[in-house]
Amino acid sequence: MNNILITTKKELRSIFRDKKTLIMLFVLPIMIPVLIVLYGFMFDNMDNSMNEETKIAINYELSAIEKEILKNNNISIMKTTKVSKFNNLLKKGEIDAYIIYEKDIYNIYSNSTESGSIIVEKIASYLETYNKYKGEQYILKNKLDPNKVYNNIKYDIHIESNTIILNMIYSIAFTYTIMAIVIASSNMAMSATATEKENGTLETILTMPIKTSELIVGKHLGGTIMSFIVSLFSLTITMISLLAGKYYFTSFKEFNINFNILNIISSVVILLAASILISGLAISLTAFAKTTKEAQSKTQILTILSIIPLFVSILEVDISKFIYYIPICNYTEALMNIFNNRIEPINIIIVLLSSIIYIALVINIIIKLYKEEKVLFSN
Amino acid sequence: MILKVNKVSKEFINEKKEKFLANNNISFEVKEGEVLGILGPNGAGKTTLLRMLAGIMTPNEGKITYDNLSFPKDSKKIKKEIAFLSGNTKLYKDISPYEFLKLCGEYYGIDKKDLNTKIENAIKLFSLEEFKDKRIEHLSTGQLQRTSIARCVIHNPQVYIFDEVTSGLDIIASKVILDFIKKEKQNNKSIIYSTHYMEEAENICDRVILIHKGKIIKSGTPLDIKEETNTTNLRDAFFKLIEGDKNE
Repeated sequence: MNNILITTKKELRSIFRDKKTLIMLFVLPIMIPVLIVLYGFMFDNMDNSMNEETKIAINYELSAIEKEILKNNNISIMKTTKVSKFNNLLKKGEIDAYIIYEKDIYNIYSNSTESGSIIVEKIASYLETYNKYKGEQYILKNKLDPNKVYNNIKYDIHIESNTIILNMIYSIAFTYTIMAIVIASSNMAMSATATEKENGTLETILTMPIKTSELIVGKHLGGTIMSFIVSLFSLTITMISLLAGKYYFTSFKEFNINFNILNIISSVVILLAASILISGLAISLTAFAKTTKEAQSKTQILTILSIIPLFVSILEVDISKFIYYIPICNYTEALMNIFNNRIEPINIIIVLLSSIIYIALVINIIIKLYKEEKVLFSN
Repeated sequence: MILKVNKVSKEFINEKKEKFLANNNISFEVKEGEVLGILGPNGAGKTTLLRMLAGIMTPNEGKITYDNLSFPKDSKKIKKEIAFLSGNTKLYKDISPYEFLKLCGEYYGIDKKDLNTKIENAIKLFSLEEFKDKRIEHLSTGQLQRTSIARCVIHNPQVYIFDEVTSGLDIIASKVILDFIKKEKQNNKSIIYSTHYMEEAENICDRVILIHKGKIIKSGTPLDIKEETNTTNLRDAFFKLIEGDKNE
């Protein structure tokens, strides 16, 4: 036990003295609040665009009802008759969009920016309302009840406030957290295996009274502790940023953030499992590497695995049935479920049980690997 | 502590899956207070043999014992009694000589109360005072070598295994090592010393073993070998013995 702790202490001291690596390990978690702030500004701007007055130019006369609809939608009209100037006005930013009525069709023109699409939505809403008004007039003219045409059923829409945005933030933040574990584990594994071989220090340690199993468990423990520290930092910074974001950004005001003790404890357990497994995987992947560079390329697979949940979330692919069994990928999903209060105990049990099985397998493999002379003596 | 090497062989398989016998049926004994030289050119199998003596490689055949202790059963006990130093055993760059000696002492299980005294003694013995707190990456070759030897004495071993330790060193740095060997011999310690510098071995070793292509081609005192081969130095003796080997 003593030799394990001496090795762990040595590994941690080595990483804490390497300032460049240390900075690199904390760069990714620091990106999380930056991203949250950017999202805050982006969604607030979108909200503002919806509420701001929109200036448009048109080439047709407005009826009184249209003027009222436009006023209700906060759209003002620029009075100009020359259609050829519309595009220039749009380019100069003097108008937000323009409509050209031609052959019974209202053609809406706007720029391709985010605010452009919001403006188009507002104009479409005005035309939709006007269209419905005209339909109602026709129905009334034919002595029919518009309610029988339009309102045969009644429904209400209840959407969880801003769940999509919050989920998107969670998805990125937790993917970054797992990626931070991967980076920390990979760096620790590289220095614990390939760099030691490359520098000739592994042979020095082997001359001392230490079993290879003690050496490798000590190195694994060092990697796990470092990864766990980075992941806890990442989780803390995510929570602080979201709480601060809820205070500062209008678009985050209705976020249902569930940072209670149970959620925090559950996520810490998940992060610990992730740190143990990923650190073990990194050590076993780098076992045969003769140089740091070779070790670096061998750990790429872990980075790829850690990004999968983000792609799955962007593409909205439903692999929820299987994801809990896939190491590394399952941690992001589990963390998202915990903070969305969608914790299904069976899924958490699957994640933890599969982690324990994978960890046992990985530790067994690395102890066996490190008994092989070709791993210890790359030359 | 008596070291016995009995019919030890070590085989490697290269990347082309070809078998290569690095050591072939090697047997010898080292007594207390004896300096044994393992001599041979590069690739003769000296490093592999010494790595097996240090317990960091396992022979395919044969047995290595230190008194009644043997690998792998008594690995920890043996390693506490031996010190292995080679060109391949490097130092951690990001720590100081003091921290490195402390780390080694901890691995050797030296009591915390004694460890500081032992470190201070080693620092004094090899004059590490002026750079003991400097990072190892900033040390000169001579300072590195002195730190390496200092780590070998920290646990007061009974057997020293030195593999090509003077290779690439200037005469002053080499002298530090050779003087150390002489001193430890007087303290009744056993020293196994591999080199390809035949003259150096002739001056320092009580007995030598000449290795060629993994086999012992001759063993005895330098004087006996020179007489038997009718040569004036070990270098000539070695070449004469190789010629004989070729003719066979």
